[in-house]
Amino acid sequence: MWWSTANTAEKKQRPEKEQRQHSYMQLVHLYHADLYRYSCWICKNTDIAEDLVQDTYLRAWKSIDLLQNEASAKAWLFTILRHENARRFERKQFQYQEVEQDLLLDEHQVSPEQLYSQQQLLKQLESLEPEYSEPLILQLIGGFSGDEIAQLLSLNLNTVNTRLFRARKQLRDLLTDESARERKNG
Amino acid sequence: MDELEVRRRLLTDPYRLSAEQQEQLKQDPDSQQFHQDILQLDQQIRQLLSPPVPNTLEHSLLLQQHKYKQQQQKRFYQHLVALAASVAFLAGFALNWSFFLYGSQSLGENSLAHVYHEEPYMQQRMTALSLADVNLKLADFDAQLSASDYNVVFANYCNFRGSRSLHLVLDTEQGLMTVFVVPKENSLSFEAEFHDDKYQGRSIATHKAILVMVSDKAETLQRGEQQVLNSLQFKA
Repeated sequence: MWWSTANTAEKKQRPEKEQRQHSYMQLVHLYHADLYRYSCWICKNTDIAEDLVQDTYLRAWKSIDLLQNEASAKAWLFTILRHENARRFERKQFQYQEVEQDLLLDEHQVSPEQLYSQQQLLKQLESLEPEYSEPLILQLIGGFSGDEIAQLLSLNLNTVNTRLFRARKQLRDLLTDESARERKNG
Repeated sequence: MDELEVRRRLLTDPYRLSAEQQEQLKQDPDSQQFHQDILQLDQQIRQLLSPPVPNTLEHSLLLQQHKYKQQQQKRFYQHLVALAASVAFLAGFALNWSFFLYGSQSLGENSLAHVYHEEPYMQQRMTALSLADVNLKLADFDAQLSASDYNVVFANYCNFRGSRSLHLVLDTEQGLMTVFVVPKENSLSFEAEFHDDKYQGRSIATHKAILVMVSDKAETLQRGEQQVLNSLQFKA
């Protein structure tokens, strides 16, 4: 009958649509928190970070058909976020450096001493060259492997490994210096 | 693997240890301690960089996508409506245009239109054409005119809505009469008799072509018809 063919065509189409919707919801559910954290790190401002995550997901939805592999979804989203962030700077050249850094700190149930040491750590982390801190943050927040970071930053694996090594090494050196100085002062 | 290499590897990636590294860790408590230190520092950094995620974020991400989808759908239908409107407009325009171009649909209307078109020039063309000239043109329709008691004063091809036809004006005793020789295959609807305020006409279908005769007097038409039928022969 004439309607039966139309019906089957519709049936074929619907799962694809639903599939797309489903994978979008999965992407949101699984990765929004990590993306938000990473976004906070690169924006240094929670409001802008939230906007950036929104932009990222909108862009992701528009090109969700390009996502072939669920396993690479997280790295894909991080790449989009980095692009969107770059676009943000193309659009307007605002300086967000003035924004309070301790917005990043999780201030729940922290003693003053802990808060102090956390602030110290943050200061050290930010004193690292961005080329060193960037792979480290991706490894820590994104949980990416060396290969994935290399792909995200368009670097080769050896460079990424070297930078990861130097980032941790410098951080440890800075912290031991700090504690040594404190001991001396104290 | 010397100690430096062990530490370098642990500092690079403390999460994805090779089998070799794991084996080495088991045997060396110092390395174990080093590994633990790294993980602890990482954990501190991770805590540091874990601002509370807004509760509404997940919801608003889903909402934004939903809105975007609806907007797209709306835009799609708007485009569809715009397209349909354009098509309707063009169709209407084309229809009007075709009515304008092919306003007269029937054989009679078409013939009268041709008569009116030539009418102003008829007064100047009262010289008779030679029978040979007329027959040359009639040959296209497999027809032949024999000598008769009227003169042909005008003979020219004309277009009857795509069909090449012959437009003849005869000067008979009773007055001027127009005769069209129209091929049988034409796109006009056949009309045996027709008239308007000034002219009247008759169509006769012969086995080869349609003869349409138009005159302003009924008498001319009646006598002329007989004369034409007598003198005009179609080849078999």
